[in-house]
Amino acid sequence: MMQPFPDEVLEHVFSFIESDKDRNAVSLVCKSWYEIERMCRRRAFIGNCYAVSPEILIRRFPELRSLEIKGKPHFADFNLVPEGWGGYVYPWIEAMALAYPCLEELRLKRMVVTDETLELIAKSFKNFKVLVLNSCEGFSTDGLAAIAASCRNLRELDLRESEVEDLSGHWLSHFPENCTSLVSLNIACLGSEVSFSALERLVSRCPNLQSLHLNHAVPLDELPNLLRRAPQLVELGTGAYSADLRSDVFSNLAGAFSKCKKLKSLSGFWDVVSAYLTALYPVCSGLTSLNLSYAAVQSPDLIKLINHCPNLQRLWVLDYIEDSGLEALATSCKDLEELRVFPSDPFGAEPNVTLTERGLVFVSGGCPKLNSVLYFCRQMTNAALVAIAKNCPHMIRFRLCIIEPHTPDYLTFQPLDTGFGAIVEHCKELRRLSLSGLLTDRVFEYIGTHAKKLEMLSVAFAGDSDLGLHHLLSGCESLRKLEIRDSPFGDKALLANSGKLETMRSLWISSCSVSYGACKLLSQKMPRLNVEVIDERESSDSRSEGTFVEKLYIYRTVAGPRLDMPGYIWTKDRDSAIRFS
Amino acid sequence: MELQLGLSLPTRTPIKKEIDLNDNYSSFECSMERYGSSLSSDDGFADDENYVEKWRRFDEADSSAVGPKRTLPLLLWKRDPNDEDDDPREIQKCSPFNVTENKGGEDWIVGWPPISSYRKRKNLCRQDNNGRRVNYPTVENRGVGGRWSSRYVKVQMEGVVITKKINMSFLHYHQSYEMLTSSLVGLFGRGEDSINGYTLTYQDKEGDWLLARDVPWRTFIQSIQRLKLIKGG
Repeated sequence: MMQPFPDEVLEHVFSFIESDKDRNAVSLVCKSWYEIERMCRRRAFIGNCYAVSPEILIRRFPELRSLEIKGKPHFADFNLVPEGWGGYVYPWIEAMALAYPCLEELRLKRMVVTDETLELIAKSFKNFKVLVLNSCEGFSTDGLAAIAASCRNLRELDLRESEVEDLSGHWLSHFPENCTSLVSLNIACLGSEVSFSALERLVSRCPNLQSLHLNHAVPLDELPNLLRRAPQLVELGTGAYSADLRSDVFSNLAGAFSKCKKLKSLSGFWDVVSAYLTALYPVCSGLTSLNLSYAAVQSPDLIKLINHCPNLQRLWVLDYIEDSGLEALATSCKDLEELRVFPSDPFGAEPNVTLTERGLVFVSGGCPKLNSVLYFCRQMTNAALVAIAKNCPHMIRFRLCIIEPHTPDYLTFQPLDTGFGAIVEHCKELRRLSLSGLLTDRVFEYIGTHAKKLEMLSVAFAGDSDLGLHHLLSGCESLRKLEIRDSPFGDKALLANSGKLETMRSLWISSCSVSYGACKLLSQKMPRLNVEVIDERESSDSRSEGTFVEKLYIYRTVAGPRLDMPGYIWTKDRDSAIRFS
Repeated sequence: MELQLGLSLPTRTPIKKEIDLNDNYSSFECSMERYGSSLSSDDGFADDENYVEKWRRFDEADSSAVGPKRTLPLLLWKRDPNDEDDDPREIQKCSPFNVTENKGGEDWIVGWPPISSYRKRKNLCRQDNNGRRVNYPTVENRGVGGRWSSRYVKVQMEGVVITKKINMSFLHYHQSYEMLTSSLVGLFGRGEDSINGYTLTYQDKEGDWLLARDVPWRTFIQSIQRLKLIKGG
């Protein structure tokens, strides 16, 4: 028999294994590997903050340095999760403050982060380096000031799409004068002005700053000052990109850009004045990522810009790009991997631009590396979807939003079943899919059968019966997250496939046909699932067995029922309390 | 549920005292213990039962309470409590659109099309000089009980000049008046010994000041406009 390696050797070998999935696999080999792996694990990812408790995490991984946690369900982005739902990070920080004094990195998504939390972070982790708050809320610039003042080795402060209460732009000046470690600063979500002098000084003294995302309040004439102080920047999010047309402003800006030889990614462009876009031309050939999704630029100007960017891999734009712009994109950007097209007037009754299925077909045909799509449009055909599927067999993420619910193929008036069916059949690597348009149960049969690697699926206004949900839950062997709204799926499919739910991270169902009775049954039958009904209707009398629930969130957990639920959430424990006490 | 709950004195106190307040910190500490407890621990069960009891009693209070509200005449505050907000939200300030109007007159579908609230917020103020613009009305955001205007509430403490602002999520985070009172007292730098010396009052949407513990927690959370800790247990 082979002599086992000493623990130290294994530990060293394990240190080269970075992906969570592989680390998990390692820990399942045998007891001793499990022990060695857990003692040397430095990073962890928690996809749902209620799936495990801080205590369980700390017990298993006593030496973490880096943690990523997600809170609210994805549909919270669209205001479907009521205020006060939960997702508080404070208990995690409190437990970690004692257990992980050496914690360096914290990445949070859709969590409630109070100023008290930020103060505790600033106080507790002596060598704290990375704070990423993605779509978080509940804190103000006061909390950020505490982070700035106390975290001497901060490398990354990234507020992404958080909702921050702007009490003062002065918080930036809390970075001490000897703070030179910043690599990334993203304050794009802030509303109010920051102190420009503090910002300039900070940028000047951080020689390793690679990524800087400014907010709307930083004016265009301030931008050259910042660029000159940080010509090493790789990623830039501009502030407001507008000014009166003046040649000195333009030449100053173009001059500053031309010195930034390393720029690869541009975003921002709030309130864009198209004439100033030409100042970007000197850096365009190096760009791989361009986010113009907040810039109302018309198609001709976009085409000119894109023609200067042959190396783009990622493009986010508004639908002002139109079919003609996408055709130009397909011709000039052969390395494009990701395209997102957002609507400029999503609530208008009539289309305001010529953006159709043709634009996406052009790009799928011209850009062979395309693997990630988010596309808002108003018309689609099965033929177009089939063409896209055949053009892009490597598609990983495909999210299509036809704005009007239940829109059929506008040429044949057929449901879009065969089109989406082609996507799941041809794109074997598909991990994420969002459906829209007129769809029957057939599409779910295709998805259940073919989408073997699908991990996240979003369904809205689709299907005609329980059978649709049954196809999904009985197929889709890799499915982790499923979110469904306004579809006629109900009790039978849910109860028949309850075992499947334990293999998934979460299931969201709202405005469907699931009854209280089924929720009750499910929660009794599956003790390792938390079955939470969100019902903001007032009277609990209406909660008879047959009533359909408003919103349902089901997730697996090893932490048991959570204790911070607001009053509008129903669970089996609360129900029995009302009935039997 | 517009406060027809009559908040006459309940026949018994709505919540029995369940948390040991002999704690140096705010009740964050207390609540954390609840987070930490798992079902298998004794504490976990004890907490759960208390929780359940509370839930049941709220329910009773909800259905049985009738009669006029008991207001506190000494603290009448008839102005719109948000009038003097320090930070008028950018929505009112710079939206070029009539945010409550829609083109077809039909109802909005909440959350559809699926555009993140961040993107909507960011696009509110955008309009290019060619008349083309990004048109993201915010009916949804404003429809949910004035979400924007009520996200922060002011807190005063009798005898303290400074007013504090707290986020609604801070309130939601707490589960009882005891916990909240303790946290707020801590917020003003008062120690554990002062907790019993203060009573939590709040101003409702009509501008009346009421004793917080006279109403169910949920009603309180929904109607609160301002908070004040007054002296006297």
